Amino acid sequence: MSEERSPGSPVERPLPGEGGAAAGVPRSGPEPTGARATTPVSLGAAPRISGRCTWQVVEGEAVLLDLQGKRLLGLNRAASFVFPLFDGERTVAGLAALLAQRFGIEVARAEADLRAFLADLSARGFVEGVDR
Amino acid sequence: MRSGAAGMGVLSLEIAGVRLDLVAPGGILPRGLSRYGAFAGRAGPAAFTLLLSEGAGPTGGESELRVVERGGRFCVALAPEAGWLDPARGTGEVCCGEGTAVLDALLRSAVGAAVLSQGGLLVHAAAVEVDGAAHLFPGPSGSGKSTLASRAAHPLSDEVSVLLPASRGFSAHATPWWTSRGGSAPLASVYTLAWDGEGVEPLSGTALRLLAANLVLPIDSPTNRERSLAVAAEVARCVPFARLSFRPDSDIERLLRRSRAGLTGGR
Repeated sequence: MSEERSPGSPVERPLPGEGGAAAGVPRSGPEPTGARATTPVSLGAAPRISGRCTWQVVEGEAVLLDLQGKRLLGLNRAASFVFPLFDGERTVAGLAALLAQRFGIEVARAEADLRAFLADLSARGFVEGVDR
Repeated sequence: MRSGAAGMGVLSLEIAGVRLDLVAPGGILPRGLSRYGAFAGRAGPAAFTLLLSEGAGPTGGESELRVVERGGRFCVALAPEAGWLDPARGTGEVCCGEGTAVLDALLRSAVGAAVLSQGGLLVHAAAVEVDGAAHLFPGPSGSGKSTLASRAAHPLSDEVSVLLPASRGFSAHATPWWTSRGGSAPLASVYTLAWDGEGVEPLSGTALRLLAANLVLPIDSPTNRERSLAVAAEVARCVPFARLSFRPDSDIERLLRRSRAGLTGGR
């Protein structure tokens, strides 16, 4: 999956340490997600952004910041496009259709990528409502 | 330093526009305050007044001197007895008998809180002034900030910089943490540092990720995280982002002049 086409490759960066001084050098590659426990995401789920995070988008690039823990997540273009649409109303199926249209990919692929992305975000606590 | 009432010594500071008074009851300010010399400010109403004492305090590293809020007061988590600062009243007391580490930490939090309330930001970053414009280099320890600042003719800060909203965009301000001669300048650009040659390469993305990874929070709270990220986004919207590679013998000013000429047309 290329970064421009898939929301499934968020890049994680460590937050500054508790004193603010221990910020790590940003990783250059995607976060491996194989070891992370994930929740199956149905196409009918309507994800919403968790109140436990804050986020900003600048020029099509989203950065998510955990309000309590130590996670800072930079999203690629496709993920940045879809993340603000997690409003608890739109379904995964509907969002995948938007992704497919916006990035010119097959709907089935958009659904698979989006479900994987949501499972990962849910495991990190950045979204809710994916397990319905 | 000036003399205050009843033999008190007072050092008036101004850091990024934030006025602070350090008051030593014995008339003698503790050693270790020399880095604040460049920030000696005018006398007058201070946002914060800290009473210094000679009691023992911790001398640990920065990570051990995390400032937290307890009962409305800022204090060092592992040694609350070593000092406190009441941000609402603008008062505090600090033990400086074994160094100024606690004072440094509380002052940084005080300045950070004041700056954040003005829509500004503290960031782990070196800042260098060239031809009246500031160039910002966020990064963690070991990323080359201090090395770069040491090779510049007009460094503003080598470790922590303040960004404040200005009439056009943001301005970068020097801080006493850790080496600085003071000063400020309009922020021209933000860079990520590299050591693989020499040159400046404009980056297609923005500086938001880099700034967000290097926030300095006055107190680590959800509110401060949210505000700081919002300010970082504003900064990222205002200035170009580039990658600066340099060698130990690089002419930093020449690189940054060339960089400014090439980047300013981007936004």
